[in-house]
Amino acid sequence: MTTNANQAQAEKLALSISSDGQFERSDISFSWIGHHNDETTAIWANDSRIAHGCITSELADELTTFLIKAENDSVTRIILCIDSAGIDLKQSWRAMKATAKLIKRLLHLRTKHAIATIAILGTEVGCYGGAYLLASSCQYVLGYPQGRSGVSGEKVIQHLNPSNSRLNSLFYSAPFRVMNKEVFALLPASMMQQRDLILTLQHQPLTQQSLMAEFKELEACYLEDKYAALTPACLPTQFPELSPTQSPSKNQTSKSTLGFQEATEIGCSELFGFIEQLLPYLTDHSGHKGALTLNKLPLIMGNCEQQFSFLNEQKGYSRYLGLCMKLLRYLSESGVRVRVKVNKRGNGAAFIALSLMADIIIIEEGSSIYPLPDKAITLLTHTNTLKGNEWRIP
Amino acid sequence: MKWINRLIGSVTDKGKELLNAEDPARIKGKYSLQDDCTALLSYRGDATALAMAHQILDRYAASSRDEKIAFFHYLSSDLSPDFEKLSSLALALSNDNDADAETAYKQLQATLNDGRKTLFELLNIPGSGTPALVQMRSELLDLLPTHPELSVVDIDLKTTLETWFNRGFLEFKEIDWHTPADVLERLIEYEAVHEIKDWADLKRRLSGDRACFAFFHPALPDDPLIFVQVGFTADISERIDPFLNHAQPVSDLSAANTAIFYSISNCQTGLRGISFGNFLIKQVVQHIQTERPHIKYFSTLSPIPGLTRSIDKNYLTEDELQEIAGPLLISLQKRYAELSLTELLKDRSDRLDESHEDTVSFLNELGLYYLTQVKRGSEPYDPVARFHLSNGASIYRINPFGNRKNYGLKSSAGLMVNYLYDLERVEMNHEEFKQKGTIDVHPQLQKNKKRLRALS
Repeated sequence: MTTNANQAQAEKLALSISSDGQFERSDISFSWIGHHNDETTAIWANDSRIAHGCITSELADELTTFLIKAENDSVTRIILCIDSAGIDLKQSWRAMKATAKLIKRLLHLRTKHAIATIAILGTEVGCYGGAYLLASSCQYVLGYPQGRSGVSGEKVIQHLNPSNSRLNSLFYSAPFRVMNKEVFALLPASMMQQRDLILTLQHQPLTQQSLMAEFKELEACYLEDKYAALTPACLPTQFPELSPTQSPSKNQTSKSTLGFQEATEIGCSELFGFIEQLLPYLTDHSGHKGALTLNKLPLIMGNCEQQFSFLNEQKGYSRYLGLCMKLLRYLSESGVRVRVKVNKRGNGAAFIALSLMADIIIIEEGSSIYPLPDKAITLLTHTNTLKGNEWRIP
Repeated sequence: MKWINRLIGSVTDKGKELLNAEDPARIKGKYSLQDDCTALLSYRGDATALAMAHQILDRYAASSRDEKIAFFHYLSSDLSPDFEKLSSLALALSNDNDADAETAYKQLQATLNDGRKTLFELLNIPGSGTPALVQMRSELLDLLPTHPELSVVDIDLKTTLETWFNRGFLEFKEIDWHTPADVLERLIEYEAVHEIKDWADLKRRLSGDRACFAFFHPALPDDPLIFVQVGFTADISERIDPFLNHAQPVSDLSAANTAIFYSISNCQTGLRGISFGNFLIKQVVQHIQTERPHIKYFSTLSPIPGLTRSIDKNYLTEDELQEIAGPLLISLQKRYAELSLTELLKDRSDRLDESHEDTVSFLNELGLYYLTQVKRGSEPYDPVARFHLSNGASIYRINPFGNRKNYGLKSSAGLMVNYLYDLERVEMNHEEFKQKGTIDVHPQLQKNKKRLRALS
């Protein structure tokens, strides 16, 4: 019997869609597939009673099985009700890898199948870290007005980069996430209205055009943030590389490697720069396919350490990570091999969204891969950090 | 029902056309709401009356608070029954001639219903009329404390609704997890005794060893009028916590012999004062006896919501509290040195010590004294006690630490009570209570009751 808020809510949503669907339950998740009119809807929900990160390789296996079944059944839409602090830190890279695999599958569904993917962010724990990335890889992210979400939780950021701003807490609220477009819409209070809203959501394929449109939107936000405190006159001299009149992506195709060669903490700016490096491979400037006519990207240097700051949360960090994931996977799904080489360190959601999106990942001996910086892991798990040399190439 | 709604819709549309042809200003809302009501009372055609009633209800719903107050004043003065005529007709009733008396009686009835009662009947259009009038009464009740002169309107509206919500029209239903979500959401919204936190909480209250029953009315099909939550247990429960903990494991239903009614909530403010609870409990008992014959005992686990209020209002003074404590007083004073009993119960009930035997004994006596001796007229002051005792229940046990949640401590210093519905005694208890004000107390409490009665 489910007695946690996330599953009870998901179960009632399922029953509101159709009373004759099929439920499958385990100790950590439940799933349901049912029919309504001529459509089939599949719902999955994790157990929200687990306060720490609940995404384990076991949970990922259950979700993978569910996604495969939904794919085989050609469902109209998949709804993931996610109420989780993220990956289980004790499983370390194993859970990170499992999360990346799930993201790849969700983006595969979006690219190759006409299945709408919808994430509903729960309210008991909220939605953070790897769980938030998982949600961000869905076409629609819906939140409850009282819900809280973010790539990195307040506690972790406060521990790593303390800040006294009273606004920090606001950035995690659902209305704020809607404002910065990380959450598509807030759910109405009534379950029947929630159902009606969800049943109107249709598949939006992941295409070159949709990715470019998403980039343009993100670019507008990025430039707005970047120049917020500056007068227009000073733009060209201070940030020539980002001048709106100049394409930042030009001539990037001649590089032999992409990514972040040295350990720089990856925030919104760094992600935006990386996205710009990737874009020419999606399309050349005449509008034709870029790397899609080739069969590989230059090697991506995948040293990727997450920057933990409230500013990133304020700017909508998950959108930057989300677009990285989508671009890499779109290229991969289009037949371009994505190769990433990690020779030093990697951690956090940024590592999942960039490095682990590869088809071929090369982890050099002695590299260290952590879900969070040591200091944060010790804070949250009261155990020593697992060592990165446990990493094995899948 | 869809075809009938369509039919009514088309009749209403026709009525609007007729109204428009007769007086275009009427349909455009050029007259006041009150004028529209006066006009409605003069219409004879069904279609035009239906269209006019729709218009009045829509205009009322869109009115401001001040406009609604003006509307109710119009109902109380302009649409009041003709009291002089009523008086003369009443006199005529004493006439020896039976034929004259019959005529006078008919006229008396008609005169009494003239004006606002007739208006309420005309406004009761199929589909939306009843809910609109229930809502109207809810708003009227809100206004009564500041506008007591409107109570006459409430009397007529309440008696009208009483007729419409007669027991014969109520539909009894068991509510479970598969009941449509919009109905379940109403439960979450309406639960007045023990808040339902979320869907998980609700799901636990509807499954396994729990159940929920409600009355519905055809005019409000998705909106319960009243519902009762029941837990099936192996004994008469004395604490509310297990019922409110959604992680509480489901117990073996076959081992249960008792149905505990742990929450009963009225849902419609606009139907306040129209009692459904007594019918509901009796119907639930009958239903459980049929469906779950192994259940032998029926008891409530009820709050005592007026206890601290009665202390606050000095219906229970410090002197009385000390008398109730009797020989326990010294021990209580020692245990809670700096506090009077009044302060302890009213403001610092969180300090009451469950492990202190004399505290437990004192609270037991206090609960029984309050329920049986603090009265409003001839009946208990406590509204929940009044309700169950007038239904024929007995006081079975006082539970001193039954509800230690904040709202339980605040309203009753944590005390709860079991009212037992002993089916062999219910009718007799009901009669005794109504006729003599006799409160039936379980034999194990009788000794205490005698001592406390002597105190009072």
